[in-house]
Amino acid sequence: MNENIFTTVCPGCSIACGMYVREKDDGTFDIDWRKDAVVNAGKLCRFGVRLSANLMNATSKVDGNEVEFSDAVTAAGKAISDGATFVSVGNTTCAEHLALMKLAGSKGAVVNTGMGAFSSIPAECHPTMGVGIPFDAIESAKKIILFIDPYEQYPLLVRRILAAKKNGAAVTAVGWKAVSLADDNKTIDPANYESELALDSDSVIIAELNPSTDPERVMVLLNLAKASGAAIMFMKPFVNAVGCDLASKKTEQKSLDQIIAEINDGSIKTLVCLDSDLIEIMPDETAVREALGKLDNLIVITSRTSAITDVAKIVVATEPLYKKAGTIVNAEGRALHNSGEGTDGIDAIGTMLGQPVGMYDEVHAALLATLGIDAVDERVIPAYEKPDYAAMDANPTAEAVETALVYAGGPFLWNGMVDDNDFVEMNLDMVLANSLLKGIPAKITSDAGEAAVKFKVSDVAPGVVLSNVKLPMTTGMVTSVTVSR
Amino acid sequence: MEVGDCYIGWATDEDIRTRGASGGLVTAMLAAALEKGLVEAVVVLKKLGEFEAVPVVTSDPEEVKAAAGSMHSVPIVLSRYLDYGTKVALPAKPCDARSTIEQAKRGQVDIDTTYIVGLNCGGTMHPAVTRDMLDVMYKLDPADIEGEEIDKGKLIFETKDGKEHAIKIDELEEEGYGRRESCQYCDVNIPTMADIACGNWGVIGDLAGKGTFVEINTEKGIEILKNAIDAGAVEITPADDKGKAIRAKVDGAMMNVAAAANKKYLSPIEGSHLDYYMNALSDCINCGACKTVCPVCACGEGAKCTDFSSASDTYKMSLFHLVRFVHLMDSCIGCGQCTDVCPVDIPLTHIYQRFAVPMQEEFEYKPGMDMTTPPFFGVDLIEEGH
Amino acid sequence: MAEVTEEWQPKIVMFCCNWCSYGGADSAGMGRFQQPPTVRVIRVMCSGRMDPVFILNAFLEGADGVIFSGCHIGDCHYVNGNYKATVKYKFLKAMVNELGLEDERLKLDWISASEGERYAEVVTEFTEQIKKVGPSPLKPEGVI
Repeated sequence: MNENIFTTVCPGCSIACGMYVREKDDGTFDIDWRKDAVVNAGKLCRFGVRLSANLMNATSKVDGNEVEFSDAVTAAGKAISDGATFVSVGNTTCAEHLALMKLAGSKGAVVNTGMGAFSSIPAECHPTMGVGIPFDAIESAKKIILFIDPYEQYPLLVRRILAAKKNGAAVTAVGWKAVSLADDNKTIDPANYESELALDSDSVIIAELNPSTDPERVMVLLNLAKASGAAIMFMKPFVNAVGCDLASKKTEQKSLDQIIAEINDGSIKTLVCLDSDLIEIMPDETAVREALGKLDNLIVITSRTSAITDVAKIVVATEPLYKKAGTIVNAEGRALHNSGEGTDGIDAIGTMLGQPVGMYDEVHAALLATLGIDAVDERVIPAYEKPDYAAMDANPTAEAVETALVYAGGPFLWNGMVDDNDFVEMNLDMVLANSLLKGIPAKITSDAGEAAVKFKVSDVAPGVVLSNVKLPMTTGMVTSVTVSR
Repeated sequence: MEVGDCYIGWATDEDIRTRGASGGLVTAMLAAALEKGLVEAVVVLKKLGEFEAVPVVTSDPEEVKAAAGSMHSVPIVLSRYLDYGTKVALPAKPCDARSTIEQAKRGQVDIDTTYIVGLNCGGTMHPAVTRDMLDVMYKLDPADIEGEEIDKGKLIFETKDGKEHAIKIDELEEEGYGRRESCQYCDVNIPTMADIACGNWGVIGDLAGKGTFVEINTEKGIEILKNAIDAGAVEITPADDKGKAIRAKVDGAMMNVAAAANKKYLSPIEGSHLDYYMNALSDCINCGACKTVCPVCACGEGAKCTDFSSASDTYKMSLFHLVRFVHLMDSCIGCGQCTDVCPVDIPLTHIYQRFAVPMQEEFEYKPGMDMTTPPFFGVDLIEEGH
Repeated sequence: MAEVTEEWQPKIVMFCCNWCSYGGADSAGMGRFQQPPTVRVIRVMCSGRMDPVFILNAFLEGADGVIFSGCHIGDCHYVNGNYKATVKYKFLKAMVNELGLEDERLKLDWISASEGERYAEVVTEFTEQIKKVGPSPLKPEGVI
């Protein structure tokens, strides 16, 4: 009877909470609270607490048949041709991402991180969009503006914001739903952010950047930060999104929507996804499944069984994140090192590249050089330069629909996970207007279909049906729907 | 050797004796239990950082020996780590021992196959708080710390340059540092409920610092100590009355401090109780971590608190917490784990204790001290006066 | 707390055991004893079946008061179910008090199958008591 202990981070979102994973002889694992972790003092949200139930290891497959790992690697190596498109949103270590970049480079391609906003916003803004501020700095802010719902999306920020409030900070939330810790909940036209929010250099703006984020919205927030001197932090839904963005050539990237469009018009025939499940990540699941079906080769290198592993032609199954040797960079820009020594993923990519040995050392050295550090120390955040940028002309499109099903997004790994967030939220007026009854699900209908969904009465904006999970009739971040009993 | 006997003991192995605390008796005893086949597994503490150790299950005596000198860890939910009926030896602070006994009452742990080796405890510190404290109060770099000890009401850190840095614990706790809040008002310092209670209090004269004071509490205690002596791993000598008196005095002093802290932290809430509790629970994100770590909760996955509540509830208070308030009234031992893991910093242990302490006092029932049935489950038919 | 108008009628949830108190409710109806229409009766097999969850849930769902009732001590159909109810009641009462909910909102009483009149009295008295303390602070928004 023996246990292996791995020091690692939670793969749920870009906060990258420290945790222990204890693996038993039989390969089952459980999590433990790593109270010395600088990011979260060992505390975990409900995703982290249930990680052992949420994570299912992948199995290597070719054409739907289970195969040995090495056979899957060989098959993938043959199938990845020039002109292939590569995606890695940041659900794996920097080492694997960098190795994939090398592989992509050898095929004359780049690795797309899926954050489309990067390619449509000037490069001088990228450092500000990428690395946020230390979580400690949130606690000492005088004013905090939330463009996220920390309770649902980034729960481990709640304690930071509460600490700030104890220190005298005023918290304003701008969003679909009233956030209970905010002193003030507002809905403001983006054109009036500057005048209504009255920020200064002691303020902190917390927003989210995900593959579906409208670049114009990001620009508005960047303008707001620039004009007021406030610090800005973009939370990301993938654990290593920041690390991957730091390493990547952002300007040459395509957004996920663009990739799907190019698959549909036939210009992409081979897609390589490294721990990136487009079916889970993108709002319109049906459209993504349809597009993926048109590919000649869908090659998935992943540690986790998910929707995309069922439809992929080749699945190269690597060890779970907690076992991987490598580094994660979280939303603060903090580099965090796994205690695991697994190199399946790196070896697989190295073999495809014809470099089966020595890949890890090479890419790890490259990472340290990128971060400008000699060694990874979780207690020291590498220094990042954030150059000044010019104000931009931004016009975010407001989607005018009468009743809007809003997909709150957030950490996308939650999708398809066993959890009890299978309900929508709406305000009491909407419940009364549509004669909904307690205990009877609401019928929600869009052009793409309908479903009966549990509902909860919350303080959300009028006309909004808020969902933390993707529903079958979701076609975008905002879907026009009707609600009935 | 009889139940109630007190001894001073130490490891015969030179290496264990010097590396382990107070003569390495506990380490030697645990390793011997494995080597001689008295148990199949031992829970050891694996040091993973300057201020953190985690409990790990092992069947390898070498790993037990390597863990010598580790600090206290957090109480564990033993049933989450091992199958029912596994023969196991568990080094345990009073709260660990009490939680194991509470689990045994609820059929989660077989008390007959669990050897609880109790360790005296004057309180534990959260690693993150310790780091902050070193920075703010001691102005020391955590990386320079070599050791720590408590002496005469002071918390002393030794740095690598050989210097000692002492600050009064009262002063630290006044500033919000020092021991966990629940440890400050915990009044069980000597694990009398364990099979065998070990510690350095009462070890005097030449043996001070080189031996461990042992009190035998049960037949199993005799078994595990005898096993180690027979294996030649441990030597003992009877403890004298002076040592016993000193041990009792230290315990008494700590209990007085705890009583004062109890008054300080658990004084009645001023104003509306309902507002206080609603406000305290308003940030709850339904993660369930408090239940997962709770060492006296034996319900597992399908529990009343979870099955009857959901994130989609529109209630003014969380049913999950209300159920747990009732549920823990007769079993909460105040170990502090729920507060430790709460992602939104709700002072849960404090709240549970507010509900539990008055009821436990009324029923004169202290959970985890022995195998007595908890009042909530026990019906006293003789008491016909109702 | 919501404004209390003269018309306000409390919502009371009453758990009655199958063998005694539910019979008591029946007798009250048969005997045409006057009682206010404030009570929703839920039948359980025994007062010992009462789980704290039921009572807490009733409050959270908007009940202004909860009574649970069973056979007189010594008369339990299952020997000692009502003793068990007594222990649970003691815990619940302490919990509800510490929580800050008014003491008057929770009541345990013994009513036998033949005590129709007593049933009506208990209900009337309890209703008056709840009317005095007003609507429950735990009543969710939108619940009347």
